[in-house]
Amino acid sequence: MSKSSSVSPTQLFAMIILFEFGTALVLPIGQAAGSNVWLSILLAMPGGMILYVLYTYFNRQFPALTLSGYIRKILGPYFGWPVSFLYIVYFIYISSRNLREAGDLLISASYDETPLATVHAVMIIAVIYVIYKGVNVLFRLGEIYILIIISLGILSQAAVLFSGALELRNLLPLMGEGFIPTLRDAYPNILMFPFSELICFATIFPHMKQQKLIRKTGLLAILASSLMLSLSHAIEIAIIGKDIYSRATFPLFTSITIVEVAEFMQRLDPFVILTLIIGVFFKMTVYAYAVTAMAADLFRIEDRRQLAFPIGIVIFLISVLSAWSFPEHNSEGRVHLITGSPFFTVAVPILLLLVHLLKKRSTHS
Amino acid sequence: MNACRKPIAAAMLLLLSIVVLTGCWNSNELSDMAIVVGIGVDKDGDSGKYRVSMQIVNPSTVAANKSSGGGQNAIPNIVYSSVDHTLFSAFRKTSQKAPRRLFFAHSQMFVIGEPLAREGINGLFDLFERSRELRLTSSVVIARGMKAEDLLNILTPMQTTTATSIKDKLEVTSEVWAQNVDTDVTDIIKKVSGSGEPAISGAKAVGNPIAGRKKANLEETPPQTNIETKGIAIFAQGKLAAWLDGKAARGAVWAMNKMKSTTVNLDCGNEKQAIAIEVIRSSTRTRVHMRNGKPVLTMHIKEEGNLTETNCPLDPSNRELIVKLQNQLAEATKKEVETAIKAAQSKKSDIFGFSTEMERTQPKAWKQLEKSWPDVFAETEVEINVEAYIRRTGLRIKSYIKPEKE
Repeated sequence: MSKSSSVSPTQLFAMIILFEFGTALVLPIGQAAGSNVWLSILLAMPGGMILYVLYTYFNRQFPALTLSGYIRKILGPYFGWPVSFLYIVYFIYISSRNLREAGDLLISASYDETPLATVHAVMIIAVIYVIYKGVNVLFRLGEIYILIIISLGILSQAAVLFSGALELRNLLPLMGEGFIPTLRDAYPNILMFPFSELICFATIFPHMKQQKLIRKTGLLAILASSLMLSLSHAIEIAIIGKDIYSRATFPLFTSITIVEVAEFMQRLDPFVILTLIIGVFFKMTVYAYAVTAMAADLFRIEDRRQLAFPIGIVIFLISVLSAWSFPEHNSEGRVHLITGSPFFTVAVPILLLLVHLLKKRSTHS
Repeated sequence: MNACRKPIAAAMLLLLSIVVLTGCWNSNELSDMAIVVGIGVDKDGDSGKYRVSMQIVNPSTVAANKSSGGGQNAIPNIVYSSVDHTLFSAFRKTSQKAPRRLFFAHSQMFVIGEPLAREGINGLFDLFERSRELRLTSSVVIARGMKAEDLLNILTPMQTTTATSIKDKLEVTSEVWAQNVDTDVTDIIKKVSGSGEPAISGAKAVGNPIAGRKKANLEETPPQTNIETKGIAIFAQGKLAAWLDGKAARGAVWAMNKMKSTTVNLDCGNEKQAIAIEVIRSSTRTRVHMRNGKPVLTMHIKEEGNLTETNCPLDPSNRELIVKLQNQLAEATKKEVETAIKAAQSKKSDIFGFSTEMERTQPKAWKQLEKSWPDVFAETEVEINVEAYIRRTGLRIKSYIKPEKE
């Protein structure tokens, strides 16, 4: 937006990894594949990359425009405006879902008497502040926190290795039910969550310093984050087994509570709690940022920062009010994975692509 | 206008941050908490309720111990019990009896009374999974032939609390004697949620458990009443089906690949059990194959040991003698494992995780056998193969004992 905002490729790389980790690292993802979730993640990765290429394609066509900008350009103002508006609603909802997940998991895991609204309020204040400070601050933060989250990961995985809690045979059978359930889990479930969520980076791309590197950096980040996600979920299953994994609300937490190194290194749960907080913070902030960027564009608001507070409050309220209970929140999530998510992250972008190509051809001829 | 607004806003923010920075919404002071070190569950008569006993450290004795080096005047731990339909409400009900708030994060022992274990234990562990305070790594034992409450009430010397005393015995004996297993809650959940059955060690009172409640029990050697870990309980359909003792228990430990170290006595010619071999390393690999539509299990045990004692003249510099001893060791091991497997098969109790192995490596066949697994398990052929090595003989090779002259 303003010329001062610029994001370097390293920062984009770090942010995509943090974003993909977000809640996908701590939640059980994909239910059908059982012990093969890690394989499903790897299978879903190419799909995620294709979607990312699609999102960056629009950026190459309209380098200066944000998501809502080119939606209106492609579909025309009459169709474009409402579609862009729906994206705002969608992003607000997802951002609030992330907040709710963090809140509920934090409360289940350690802050059992703290009201949900309090936990959410503390987090949303930080989010509002960062959005107010702008995209540069957010991405510089990301650069720092990627190091923290990776060190936490290395430390906990070293602890896992030395504790002997790892039972690799828990990962068997490899595709015991055949290839299909593993694939079914990858498409659409894991493709939708977390890979297709990268669509909100479409609002970040215009801020990139080196436009040419967006695609390459992003694909590398997707590769790196999928490998790490896959490894981490494989370790979780190797520790707690697929049965406990599939029933756990917070499998990473459960796994780490079992890890004990030589009796003195026990209860590494703060590591996991930190990972959860850091991951969710960046994920929901990127979503919230996308909302402010698009709303500023749609409603022609000069200073995007004015929107930080109202949008933060809306996210906060939805996060508290959207579900009565955590199980209800989860079942909403399952519906969302096969409705909202494919619609906004696959169907609409493909439609945009088709319309754009048709238009291009007609102008050429 | 702006210039004077800024400091005020900043001050407001600082004030607001006080609210957040105190942290710990649900903070508890250490002096208001009662640290629970062990939990016991029994059935309460025929009411269908649980009788839950919580062993709490008496904080003054722990502190006194450190400063004066023993000579405590109060008993080191106290047990409170409550009766309710669920474990959790029994925990909370105990607040009517205990003067402090119960804190469970240091509880490392979960004791189940044998009468309850015989009726089934599968429902007991849900709370452990959901709770953020209870540890999934708590060890579990069965109070053998008695109620968990009576076991926890026995005062034990050396260790401050009964629960830690049991836990430490269990840990050490599992490692050096291997006729018990240190089973934790996670192990049990993993078994129970699949088609396997848990194997849980027993702990029993030797002497009069009622007398063991008195402080006098700490002032005598040997203590009038002591707690001993004894045997491994095997389960069928979640109910305690039988006890494995002695060599059968050790065979089970071998078959479950939990063997760390133990001692095997071997015959020395005509002298029975005259040679002690210390097994220092052992690993068991179980694989399952399908033969004519039936599962066949092969178990490969590889163990290494040292010769540690002999009561007969022996010259291990002779290579053939070592080979002979190795074969004897392998034979002895095999026999123990066979005893354990037979005992478990007769009770249809798959404590060895064979079902898990089937599920992992023969998923298709498993689908068909899953429903009738306990019966299939009872009939399954198990091939045991032992590879034993004796590596060293300690600081001497030849014994000073001379052959008797005839």
